[in-house]
Amino acid sequence: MAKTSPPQRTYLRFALSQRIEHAVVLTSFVVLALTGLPQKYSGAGWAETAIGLMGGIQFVRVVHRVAATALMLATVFHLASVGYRVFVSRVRLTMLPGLADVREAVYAVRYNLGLRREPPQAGRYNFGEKFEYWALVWGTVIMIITGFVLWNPIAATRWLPGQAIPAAKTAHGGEALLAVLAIIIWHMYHVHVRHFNKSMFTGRMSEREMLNEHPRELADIKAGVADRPRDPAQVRRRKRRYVPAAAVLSALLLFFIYQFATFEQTALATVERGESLDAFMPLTATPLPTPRPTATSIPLDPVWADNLGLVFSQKCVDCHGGAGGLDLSTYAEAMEGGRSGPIIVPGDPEESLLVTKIVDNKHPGRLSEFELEVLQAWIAAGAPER
Amino acid sequence: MREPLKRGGHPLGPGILAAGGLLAVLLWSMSAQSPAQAAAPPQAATPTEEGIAEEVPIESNQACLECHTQPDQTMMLANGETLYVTLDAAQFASSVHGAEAVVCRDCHTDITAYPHRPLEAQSLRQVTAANSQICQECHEGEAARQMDSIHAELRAEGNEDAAVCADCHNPHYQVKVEPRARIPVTCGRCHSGIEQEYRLSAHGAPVYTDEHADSPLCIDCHGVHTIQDPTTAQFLARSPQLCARCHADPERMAPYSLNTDVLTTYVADFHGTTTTLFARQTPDQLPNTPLCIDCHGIHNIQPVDSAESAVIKENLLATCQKCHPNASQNFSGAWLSHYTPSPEHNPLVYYVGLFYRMFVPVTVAGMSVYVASDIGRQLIRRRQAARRKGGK
Repeated sequence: MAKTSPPQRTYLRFALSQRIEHAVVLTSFVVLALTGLPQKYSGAGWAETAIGLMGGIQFVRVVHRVAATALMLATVFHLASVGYRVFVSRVRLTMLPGLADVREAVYAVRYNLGLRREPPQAGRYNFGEKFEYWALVWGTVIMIITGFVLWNPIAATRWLPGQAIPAAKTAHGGEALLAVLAIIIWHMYHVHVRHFNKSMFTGRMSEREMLNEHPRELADIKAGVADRPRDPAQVRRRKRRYVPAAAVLSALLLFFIYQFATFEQTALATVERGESLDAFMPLTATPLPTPRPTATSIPLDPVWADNLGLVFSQKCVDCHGGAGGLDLSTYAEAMEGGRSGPIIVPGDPEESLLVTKIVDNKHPGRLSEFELEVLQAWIAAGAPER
Repeated sequence: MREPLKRGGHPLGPGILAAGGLLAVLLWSMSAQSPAQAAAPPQAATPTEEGIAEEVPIESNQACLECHTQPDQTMMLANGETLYVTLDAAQFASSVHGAEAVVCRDCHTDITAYPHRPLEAQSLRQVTAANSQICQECHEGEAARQMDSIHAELRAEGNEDAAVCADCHNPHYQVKVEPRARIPVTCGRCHSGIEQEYRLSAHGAPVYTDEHADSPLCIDCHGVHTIQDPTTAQFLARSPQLCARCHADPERMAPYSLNTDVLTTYVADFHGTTTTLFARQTPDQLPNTPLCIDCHGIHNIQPVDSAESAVIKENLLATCQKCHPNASQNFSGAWLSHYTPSPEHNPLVYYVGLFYRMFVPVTVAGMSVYVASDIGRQLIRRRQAARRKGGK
């Protein structure tokens, strides 16, 4: 029967503007879901991988906000165009839900269960389509409100308790999950699986599809009681009133969206972080007891016997006392010097290693200043034994 | 102490030997070669060249100790600092090295004769650094580990202040078991400002007064030899895990009755989610979201119920305002104070969550049941249509 029939008549179902609107909402919704759900489940491995693949959490958040802005802009456009259709074109309010839709739903269930012979006779929008539309409206309202709170927490807590922010986050995530599941279960099934309904892309529906899906609408069209062209003069008059009002309202909404996105700088971009104290604050070492060479108690004369010899025996012979090399324990040994030769050059203290060592401060053992003076005087005087 | 001598030497009392070792250590340090001193002009040694020519080999520790137990033995270093080279032989004998009969020459390997070669180290810092070069001969693992530390990194950059082995471990007097409080005191020799803060903190205060306190020491967070730069993004990114090592451990927290959900509740929040993702994905760059330490403090951390605490309710807003300067009083309530939402704590969040925990499954179940019934009906219709067609 179908094979031989001539090309079917088609009916306009969605205007181009509605199809574009759908494409924008579709795109932003998918982007919001892809960037949002991994944020909701960020603790899970798959979510972390997804965030990594999408360029990291900060980028994902920016993309999410851009998509949210696109969805809000689409919402403003939707409000304006619905207003135009209602107030200017005066179309039938076919999307309004009512008790009839509940009856239709009950009828559909009974039909599916085999309690009714025929499926329900849907009008322009069946109960499933209305359910989905109003679910999207509800969801979008919730997402915009909670999204505002999350985007502008400081502004929000001027009026709301602090708890409202985590509560908004919980609602935003719960609503998102619900929306995505509804799209997968309800939307995908009805317009992709059950029957691939292309009218949202082509704009048109065949007579057969109309008969199957929207028989009452088809009957209305054929009976001439569906939307009819209006008197152009009347339309022009209504337009003159509607357009300015819609423009002002849209401008207000656009201003609100602009505010939404730029309302506050929630946190400083960079903060001082870490220990504010200097790490390196050394304790000042307790000064060691100043090594004061003990002064010899006896009044020294510049001679060896009972004078410098005594000083050496007290201060030097522990090391230089016959263990090898220099030996200062006796006058004769002292005058002989160490392995490299004499350390005392009689008459010339400047050339005597015994003096220069002490003067240069290179030697661990010390003499007092007075002892050094006497030593120098002694050598200058020719280093006499007595 | 009574062990046989490790090295050939005179059969002297081991105590003397040990003490001699110390002396030698000190002296050697002076002449040990170290990279820091490579630049020192070789002329520095000139005045004593004659001395070197007549040097006498040092045969025993006793030889070292003869001089180095003399009180107030000092040397003037090239930069005018005084190096103290007297050793307390008895104290050395009771040290770890003394007990192990380590002798002077084990460490002071380059002091082999008297008079000693002139020191190449120009300053006390250089002496300590040069001396610390020898430690790796026995303490290989520790020496290798500390090469990865911030101290080693700074030294490699030419910072002479950075700690070397002997700054923390006194080679002559280190004893085996010390009170725990010795650790912050040791670190505090260079990091005194931080130690002062720590001393007054929830973590530090008990350490100084209670021998059995189990609150963390410097090394519990910073490590021992592999001490990392705590200002890097990588270290900071890991820091919540560091805190959680104790604070998420019910056993450790039991005596203090502290909440052990602190990490999970932090990670569940915007701040923790962000830092956790950054820590995992880009640990070398950190976001501006706070870590534990940004709210609670670092070395000056106070008990959460102390009036000084940065996170006690009275001070919380001011803490939030460090990053959120425009925040008003309500704003700080957005932080759930590490509570999991419940009817008692944060009821609004709890009930919103409860609503969605019921609303989502109920809605999804409703949709699924309808879709399932529709699938069933469509299958039956198709079968009927096929049968009608076949019948024709």
